[in-house]
Amino acid sequence: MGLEVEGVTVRFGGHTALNNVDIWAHEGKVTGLIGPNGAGKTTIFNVITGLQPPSSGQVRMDGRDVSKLAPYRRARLGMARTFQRLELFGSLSVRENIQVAAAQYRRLHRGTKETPQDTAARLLHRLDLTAIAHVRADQLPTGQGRVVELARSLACRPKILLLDEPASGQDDEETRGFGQLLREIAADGVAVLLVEHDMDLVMNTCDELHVLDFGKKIANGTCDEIRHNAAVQAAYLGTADAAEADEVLQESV
Amino acid sequence: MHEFIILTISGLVTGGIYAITAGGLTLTYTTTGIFNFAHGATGALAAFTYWQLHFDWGWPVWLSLLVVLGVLAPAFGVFLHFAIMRRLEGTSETTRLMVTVAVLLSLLAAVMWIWDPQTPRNVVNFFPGESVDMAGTRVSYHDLITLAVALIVAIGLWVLLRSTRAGVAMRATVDDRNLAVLNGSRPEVPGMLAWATGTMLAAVAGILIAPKLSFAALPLTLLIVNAYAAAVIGRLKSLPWTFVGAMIIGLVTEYGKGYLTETRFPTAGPYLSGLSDSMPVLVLFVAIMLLPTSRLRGHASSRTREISHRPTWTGSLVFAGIVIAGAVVAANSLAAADLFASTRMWGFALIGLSVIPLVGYAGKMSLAQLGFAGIGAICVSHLGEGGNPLGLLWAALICAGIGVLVALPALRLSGIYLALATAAFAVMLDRWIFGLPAFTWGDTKIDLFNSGTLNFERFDWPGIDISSDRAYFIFGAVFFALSSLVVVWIRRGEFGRRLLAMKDSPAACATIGMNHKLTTLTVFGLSAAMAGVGGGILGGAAGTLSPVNFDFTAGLSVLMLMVIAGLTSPGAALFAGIFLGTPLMTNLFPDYAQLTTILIGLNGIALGKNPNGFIAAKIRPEWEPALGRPVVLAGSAAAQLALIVLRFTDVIGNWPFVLGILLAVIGIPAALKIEVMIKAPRTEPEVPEGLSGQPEGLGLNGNRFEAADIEALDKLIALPSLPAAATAAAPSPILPGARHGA
Ligand SMILES: Nc1ncnc2c1ncn2[C@@H]1O[C@H](COP(=O)(O)OP(=O)(O)OP(=O)(O)O)[C@@H](O)[C@H]1O
Ligand SMILES: [Mg+2]
Repeated sequence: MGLEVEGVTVRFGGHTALNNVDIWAHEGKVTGLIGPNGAGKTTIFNVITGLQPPSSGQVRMDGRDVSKLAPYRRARLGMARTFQRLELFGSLSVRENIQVAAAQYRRLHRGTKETPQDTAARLLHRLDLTAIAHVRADQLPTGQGRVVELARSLACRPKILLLDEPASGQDDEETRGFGQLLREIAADGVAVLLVEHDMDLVMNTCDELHVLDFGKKIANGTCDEIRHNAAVQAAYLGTADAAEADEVLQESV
Repeated sequence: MHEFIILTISGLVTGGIYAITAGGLTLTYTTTGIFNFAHGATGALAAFTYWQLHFDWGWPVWLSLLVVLGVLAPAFGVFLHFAIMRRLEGTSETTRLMVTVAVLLSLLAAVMWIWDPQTPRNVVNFFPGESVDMAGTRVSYHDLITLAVALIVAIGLWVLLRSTRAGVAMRATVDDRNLAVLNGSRPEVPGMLAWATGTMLAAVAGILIAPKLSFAALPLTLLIVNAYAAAVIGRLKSLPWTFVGAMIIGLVTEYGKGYLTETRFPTAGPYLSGLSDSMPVLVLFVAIMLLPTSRLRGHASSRTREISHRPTWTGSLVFAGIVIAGAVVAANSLAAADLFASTRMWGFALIGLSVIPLVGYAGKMSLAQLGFAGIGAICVSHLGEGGNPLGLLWAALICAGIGVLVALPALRLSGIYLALATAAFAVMLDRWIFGLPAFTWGDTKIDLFNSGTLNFERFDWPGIDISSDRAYFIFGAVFFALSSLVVVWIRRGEFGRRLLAMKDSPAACATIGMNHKLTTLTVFGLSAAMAGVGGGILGGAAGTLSPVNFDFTAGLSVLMLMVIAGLTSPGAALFAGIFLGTPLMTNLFPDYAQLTTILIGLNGIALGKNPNGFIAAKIRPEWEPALGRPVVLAGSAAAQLALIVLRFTDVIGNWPFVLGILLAVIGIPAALKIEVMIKAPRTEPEVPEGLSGQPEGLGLNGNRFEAADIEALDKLIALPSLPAAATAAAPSPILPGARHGA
C-alpha cells in the first residue's frame, strides 16, 4: 500500500505545473522522484501534503482518499515531510524542534510510552545531532538544517515520509551515510519518497524511480531501467543523443 | 420612496469616499506588503492642512488643493517610504503593522497638537449651497464631485496597474519581491510610487469627507476601519471588488442611519444609535466569514531579524522579586495622591502582559486587548459586587469566550485579517457597545457602563485587607509578578514551544500534525482572559472607570509600548504600566499631553531599526551578566537596603532616596565592567623571541627595527634565512629607511 497519487493536475494561472501525474511509493521501499529544475517535484509534494490544492486528481494513503483533508489531518494519518526551502522552527533549539513534533505525536497517541524528551534524545543520537542540540535552529547551516528537519519528521513516526532534496548541502561522506539511513528508515516499514538531484544517492538508494519533466511523468521503473530510458536522457540533457546522455548518467554512478 | 432615493445617493457618496481611501490602501498594501494603518490619519493631516491654507490663510481653493494634493501629500508619501517603510525589510508582519500604527499615533497627536481640538473649526463643501435636481432630490455639487472623483480614481488605478510600465512593475513586486529584485527591477521605484499615490488618495478622501465628519482628527483617522472593510471585500488586492465593497458599505451605513432611528423603533432606538456607525464593522465580519481560505504560509523567504529570547527561571524570579520589592518601597515612599494615581499601573501592566503570549510568542495580532480589558472591567464591576474576587474569574471566562468568538471567523485567513478583525471589534466596542443604555435580558438588567461610569470596590480577599491604596498597590505588584511567572512558565513549556513553532512556520506545524486554528484560538482566548483580568485589577485601582478609559487609540498605545520595549519581555509590560498608569509622564511634561503620544509614536517608528524592542537590545545584555556576579548584586542590594533604612529613619528625604536607588540599579552594569577590569588586568602579549618590541610596532613611531629583528621575523614566519650580504644588497621595498638605518 503506501502512497498513491492519481491524475494530479496543478495550474498556476496559465502555467500547468503538473499535468495528470500518477506516482506512488510503497511501504518498506525508497522511491525516487527525479526531474530537472522546475519539473514540478516540490509542487507534487505540496499537493500530497495538502498545502497546495490541485486543480484535479486524488491522493490516497493506504487506499484511503485524503484529497479533501487539511494538511494537519494528513499528517495525523502518518504523513511527514521535509522542505526544500527549510521550514525549521527558527526560534527553538534543535532539541526543541524535535520535541515539539514528538509532543504533538504523543498528544494524539496517548499510549505512547516514550516521552518527547526521550524521543528527542533518541533521534538526536541517531542522526548525530547531539553536539548541536542546544543551537537555535535558525543559526544552522543548510545542510544541518535538513537533518534537523528529517529528525523532526521522524519524531512524528510517519508511515509515509516525503523528503525534498534532503542531501543538498552535505559532503560525499555524509551523503553515503545518509543513503544508508534512508534504507534503514524504509526497512522499518515506512514508504519513503525521495526528491534528490544527487544521482549517486538516488541510484544507490532507491528501489524504484519516477521521472518528471515539465510537469509530466515521463518514465518510471527500476534504476537500471531509468538509466537506459531514452526519454529520461533527453530530458536531462536537452538532447536526444542517447549515447552521450548514457555516458553522463553512467558517470554519475 | 423619496427618502430611499436620498439615502441611496448619500450612500453612494459615502461609498465613493470609502472607495478612494480603500483604493489607496490596497495599492500600498499590494505593492509593498505594508498595511498602512495610518492611512486615515494621513487623510486627517491633509484635511487640516487644507483647512489651514484655504479657510485660515485665505488661499484660493485651486491653489490650496494644488499644494496639498499635488505637492505636500505625494512628498509626504515619498518621505514615509524612504524614512520609514523601506527599512522594514526582513521584519515580521506584526512589526510592519505596528510601525504604521506608530505613524497613526504620531500623526493623530501632531494634528491635535497643532490644531487644538478645543477651537471650533469648519470646513464647508466645495461650491456651498449649489446643487442639481436628480430624481426629485437635490444633490449638492460637492457630492457630485465626490462621486466623479471616486469613479476617476477607480478607473485610473485600474488603468495604472494594467497598462502602464510603472503599474506592471508595481504588480511584479507584489507577486514576488525577491524575484523582482533578481530580475533586475528595483522595487524602490514602485514602492515610492505606491506610497506617493496612496498618500495622495488618502488626502483626497480626507478633504472630501471632512465637511461630513464634524471635522475632527479622530473620526478622520478612524475612517481607516471603514476603508479596510471595503478592502477586505476585495481580498486586499482586487481593486474592482474593493470599489464594490466600498459602495456596499456606504449604502448599508446610510440606510442604517436613515431607517434604524428612534422614531421608527421607539423601544430599540437608543440601542441602535451607535449601530449604524458600526455597520462597516459588521460588513467586515460577514466578508471575513465569506472569504475563501488562505493557503498556509511557510516561513518568509528572508530570515527575519526578530528573535525571541528564552527566559531563564533565575532571571524571571529575580525580576518578580525586584517588582515586588520595588513596589513595597514605592508604596511606602510615594505621596498619597501619587500613590493613588499609580495603583492603576498594575492594571495596565497586566493588560500589557496579555499581549506577550499572543503577539510575542504566537505572532498573532490583536488590536483589541484594551477592549477586552473593558469587558473584563464590566464583569468585575457587575459580577464581583462588594469586591468579590470571583468577579475576576468571571472576567477571565467571559473575555476568553468573547475572544474566541472574535478570532473564530478570521482563523482560516492569513494573519493580517485577524489584526483587522480585532481592530474592527475594538472600534465597535468604542462606537457602540460601551455606550449602550441598560437593557434587560430575561430577568436580569444589564447596564454595561451604567450609562457613564462603572464603580468598583477593592477586592475582598479572605484574610488580607487591601482596601488602602498602599496595600492595593502591593497587591497589584504581587499579582503582576506572579502572572509574569505564569507567562514565563508558558513560554518554557510545551504550549509555549507550540506557539513559537506556529509563529516560525505555520506550514511546518501543519505537517507535524498540529491544528493551528485550535492553537490560535486557545492562545487568543487565554490572552483575552488575561486582558480581562487586567481590566478588573485596573477597575479596583481606579474605583470608577468610563468608556474613554478603554478607547481604541488608548489600546493602540498599550500595544505600541509593548512593541517598543519588546513583545516577549514581561519587563515590557511593567514599562507599559509605568508609562500609562502612573502620573510619571504628566509630571515630567505637564503641558504636553500630546507630546508623550508623539514620543511613543516616534519610538514605534524606529522599530524598523530594532524590531526586538529595547529590552532585548539594550537592557538585557547590560544587566543579565549581573546574575552570575553575586558580589555586584549583593553590593547593589546592600546599597539599596541602606537607602531604605535611611529613608525610613528620615535621615534622607524622598528625592535623594529615589536618586540613590536609581544609581544603585543603573550602577550595576558599570560595576560589572569595573569588576571585569580589575579581575583581568590588561596584559601585554609576550614579545616574540629575538625581537626588540611587538612586531606591529617595529620601526614605527621611532621604535627600533634592526637586522636582528629582521632575522627573528624571518624565523618566526618560517622564511628561509638569507645571507646577510644579500639582505644588505637588496633593501626591502617596504621599509627601505629602516633597513638602511640599521
Ligand atoms: N506558487 C506558484 N505560483 C506560480 N508558479 C509556481 C508556483 N510554485 C511553483 N511554480 C512553478 O511550477 C513549476 C514547478 O515548480 P517546482 O518548485 O515544483 O519544481 P521542482 O521540480 O521542485 O524544481 P527544483 O528542482 O528547482 O526544486 C515551476 O515552473 C515553478 O515556477
Ligand atoms: Mg523543488
